[in-house]
Amino acid sequence: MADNYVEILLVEDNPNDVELALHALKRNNLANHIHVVRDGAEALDFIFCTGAYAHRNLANSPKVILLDLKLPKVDGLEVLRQVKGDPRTQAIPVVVLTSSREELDIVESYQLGVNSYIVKPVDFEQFTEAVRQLGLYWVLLNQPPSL
Amino acid sequence: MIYVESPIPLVVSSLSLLVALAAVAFWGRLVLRRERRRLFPLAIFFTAAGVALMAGLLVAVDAGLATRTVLFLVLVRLGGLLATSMLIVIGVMLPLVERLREAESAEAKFRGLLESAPDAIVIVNREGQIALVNTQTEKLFGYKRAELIGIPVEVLLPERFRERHVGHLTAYMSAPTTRPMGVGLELAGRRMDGSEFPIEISLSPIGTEEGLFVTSVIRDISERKRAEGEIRRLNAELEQRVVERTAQLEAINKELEAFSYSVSHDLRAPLRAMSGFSRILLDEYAPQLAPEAQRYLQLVRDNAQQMGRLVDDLLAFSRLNRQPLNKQRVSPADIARQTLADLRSEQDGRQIEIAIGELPTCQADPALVKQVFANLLSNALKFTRRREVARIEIGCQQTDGECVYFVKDNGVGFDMQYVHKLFGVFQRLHRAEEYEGTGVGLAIVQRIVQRHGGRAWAEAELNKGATFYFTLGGDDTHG
Repeated sequence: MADNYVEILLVEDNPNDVELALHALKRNNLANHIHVVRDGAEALDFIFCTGAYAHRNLANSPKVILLDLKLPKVDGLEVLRQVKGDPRTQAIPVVVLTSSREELDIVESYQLGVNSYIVKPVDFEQFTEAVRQLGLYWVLLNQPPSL
Repeated sequence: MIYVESPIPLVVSSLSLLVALAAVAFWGRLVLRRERRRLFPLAIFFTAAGVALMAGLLVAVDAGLATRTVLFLVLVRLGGLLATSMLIVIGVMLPLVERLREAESAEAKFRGLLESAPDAIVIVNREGQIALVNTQTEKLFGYKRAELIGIPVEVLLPERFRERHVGHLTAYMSAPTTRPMGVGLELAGRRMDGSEFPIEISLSPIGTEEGLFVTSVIRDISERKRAEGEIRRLNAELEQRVVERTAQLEAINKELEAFSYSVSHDLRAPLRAMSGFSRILLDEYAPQLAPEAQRYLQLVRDNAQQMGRLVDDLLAFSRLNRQPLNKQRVSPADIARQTLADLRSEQDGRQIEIAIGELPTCQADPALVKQVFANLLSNALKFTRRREVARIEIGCQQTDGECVYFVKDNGVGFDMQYVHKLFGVFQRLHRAEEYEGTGVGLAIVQRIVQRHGGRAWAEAELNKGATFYFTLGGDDTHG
């Protein structure tokens, strides 16, 4: 698969949540260009084209990152911090997947420039609302990258 | 009669009387300074008598008087002399003796005072030599009295202070003032055996006929120093304990936070799966499922969601204790209106009369006050659901200068015998199938008003309605 087709990067360790998210996306015909990574380290490799993803081109960054907070190895806040701290990636919209209001508070307290939140489970209503907030209809329309 | 024939003896006698008067005046001034006022007339009389006698004798012999007459005159004069001496003894000597006795008793009193003082007293002369010490001084410094008298007072100080002290003493002597205890420096005393101890000194000058002396009262403050040290040590210990306890509490707090984070994340994950997959089954596989199977799946889903709400409410409740209060001026009426707008979905298709009275502004955390209204109003909406016309009143009444806010409804109410359970966590007075809920809402209300220094209580009658009251702290409710 050519990596420039990756539109959505899903960073999620819980297999049930992955399946539910994929199901919601699939049902709404959004699962074509989704890539799933299972921990924070892998997410950073993918985003910054290092390690197993060294062959990727950084210019073809995902159009949106769906990011869980509690992740093995590197946690979601650290991933968020690095993405938002690097000029090459800081423009990528990040939607944080929070388990609860409690987690939302933690994200807010860090003020890391998160673009939106979705409280799990990811239903389609919430997902489209997040996308609407981001103004990323083009992701839904599967348009070519315009960065 | 005796001297009539010649004026010479009279002149001589008068002259010698004048000379004698002058001599007595001079002598009296010099020798009997203090007593001269009393002695003066007597001395004049005595001297004049003597001189007159001598002059009389001289004149008598000159006049060639008979020896018998002369002897008579001598006797008369001697009698006068004796009488005068008696007068002197009675008038002068007795008061002098009396004065001496007084002086002795004053000295005894002074001694007594000196010896009974709890502190060491050292009297020093202008040259800095010890003139007088009391017994306390002997005890304190370990010297015998005789060893101290006449030697420089610096012997009572540690060597390192001695040189400086001489300078201090000289400066003090040139401008002596009373210096009370504790004002001056805290010094050290040196015992005969060389050991040192902390002292405090007060100084007061005394002017005497023998010159300027300085009385120094010296107090051994070892015990006080020890006590002060002990207090400092205990304080430091206490502070250390507070630091440790605070660290412990902080650690516990962190642990609690980590715990609730963990609960919120990990406890919800399986619930999400249950809820999510049963929803997929219901949405996409319904045609293949028997109606009974669909109902069971719906129950699984409902229960998973209910548990999710319980977890959320419990976390919200525990968060209330950790979250700092963000007090500011708020308008409860505006907050109530916003809250009702947020709860619009619960009002759809129902006939509800809502009255919002005059609510004075107050100092409170707006987000938390909103939470209070949200919980009370959603309760009011929930428990009036079966009323044809629901009536909800939001108002305020002044009771004992305190502003009591209330939310009143005409819903199902409750039996007042269970009122004590109302604000407890997870306490419910209605069956879940009648009125949904987690039983945390009113516990949250109570916790919020308590954190504001207020109270929450309720009055109700079964099937007639309920009124929930709360205050937000007395002091700054108004204005």
